[in-house]
Amino acid sequence: MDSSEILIVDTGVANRHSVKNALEYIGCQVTVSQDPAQILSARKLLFPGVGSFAAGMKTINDRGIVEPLREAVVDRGIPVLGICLGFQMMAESSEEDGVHPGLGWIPGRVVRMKPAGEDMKIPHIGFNSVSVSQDTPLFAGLPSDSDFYFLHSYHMKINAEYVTGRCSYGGEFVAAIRFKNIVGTQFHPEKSQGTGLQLLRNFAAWDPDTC
Amino acid sequence: MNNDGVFFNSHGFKLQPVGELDWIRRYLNFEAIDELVLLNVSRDDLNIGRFSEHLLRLAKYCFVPISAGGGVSSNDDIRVLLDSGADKVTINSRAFVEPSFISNAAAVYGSQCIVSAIDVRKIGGTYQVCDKFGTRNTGYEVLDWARRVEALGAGEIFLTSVDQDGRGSGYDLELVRSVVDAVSVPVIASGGVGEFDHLVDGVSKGGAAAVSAANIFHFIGNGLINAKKHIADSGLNFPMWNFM
Repeated sequence: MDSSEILIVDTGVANRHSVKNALEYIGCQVTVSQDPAQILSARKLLFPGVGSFAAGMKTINDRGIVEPLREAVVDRGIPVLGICLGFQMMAESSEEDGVHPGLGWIPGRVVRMKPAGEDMKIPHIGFNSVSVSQDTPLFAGLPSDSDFYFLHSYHMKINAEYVTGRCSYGGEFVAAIRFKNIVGTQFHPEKSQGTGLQLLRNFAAWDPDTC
Repeated sequence: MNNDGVFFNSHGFKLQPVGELDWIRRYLNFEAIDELVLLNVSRDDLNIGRFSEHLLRLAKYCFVPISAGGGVSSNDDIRVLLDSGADKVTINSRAFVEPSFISNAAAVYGSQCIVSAIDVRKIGGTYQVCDKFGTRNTGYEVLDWARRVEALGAGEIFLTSVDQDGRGSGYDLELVRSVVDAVSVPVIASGGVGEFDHLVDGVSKGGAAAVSAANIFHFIGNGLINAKKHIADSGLNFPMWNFM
């Protein structure tokens, strides 16, 4: 089983090129696809996303890939990394522009950032420091405080036991999670230099059954 | 960079070629930078399509946000750049003719995607916004224009001192500070860096959210990595990268 074959779910956003470039740079074999058959036979999935929750959910519903994705991720338990909106879409719901149901793969919900402090603008854009709260495979080899690139207006509320990384922006918010075979990051590893590439390497090498 | 993928040094906006993408990749270690600004400096025959082909090649090896621009005049131009690997675009001259271009672009692509590039010269004792490669005074005083573009929806301001550009004697800190104090969007200082301390000053004295340089990195080996180390030693809170 070649664990560095990754299928990037084509959710129609420009972001998929950056992620593809980063994965190829670290030596992965990458396919970008929205084909249900390819999704069902994938070994590892990456779920990117930029834009609004409602638009993202509509796109994957319209493309008919929600069921194949659920079967791959929830039934077969293949490893999946959700990035930014991709991460958020895995939650039960989001309150962005009204309440919208998500994929419901992880027991969390997405709410608007409300940073305390008059200088704290939304969206949260730029580099910020993530403190890694557990000994977790996704952050292997990285310092317990690492910098990553953020660009978001909403964040994930989820039980602390699944939180692997936290960040602070006018208050603490969830930067990374692990729930069974699912990992997610609010930040963009593909825009976070060598630190982000190391995280992607860790995901490429990850076998959820062993660690 | 021009349409043909040639990179340049700039001195008062007069250009001197330094090399092509392969040269850049050999001599500039991108591993230390936080963001990249790629401006099309072709003059008479500026061609965003050809420029974007080189942008696409460069973006394959660049794992930080990229801002691209130069001659951006329509939403189509923006789309071409974004499809070629840019995360943000810079808008400069078009906004003088059509200020609503900024607000319209911000509405379509999001303010975080739109950077207003402002080139400034000190003329008659005041800071004046210039276009036509820094040669023509638009008549706008810099603070008025900066506030205007912010109100129109620009997410960031890329502020270049044409007077300081290429001189190596540091940013025009008075200019940087005045714009930083006038707006609430991030201001990126540009023009004049000759030593690493100038980068530190841009933040600690000018108050810039980000500091940029070009020439200094073209001829100093490991300039980018050493600049980052110098900035870290100064105590400023910049991202520190795990090197690849």
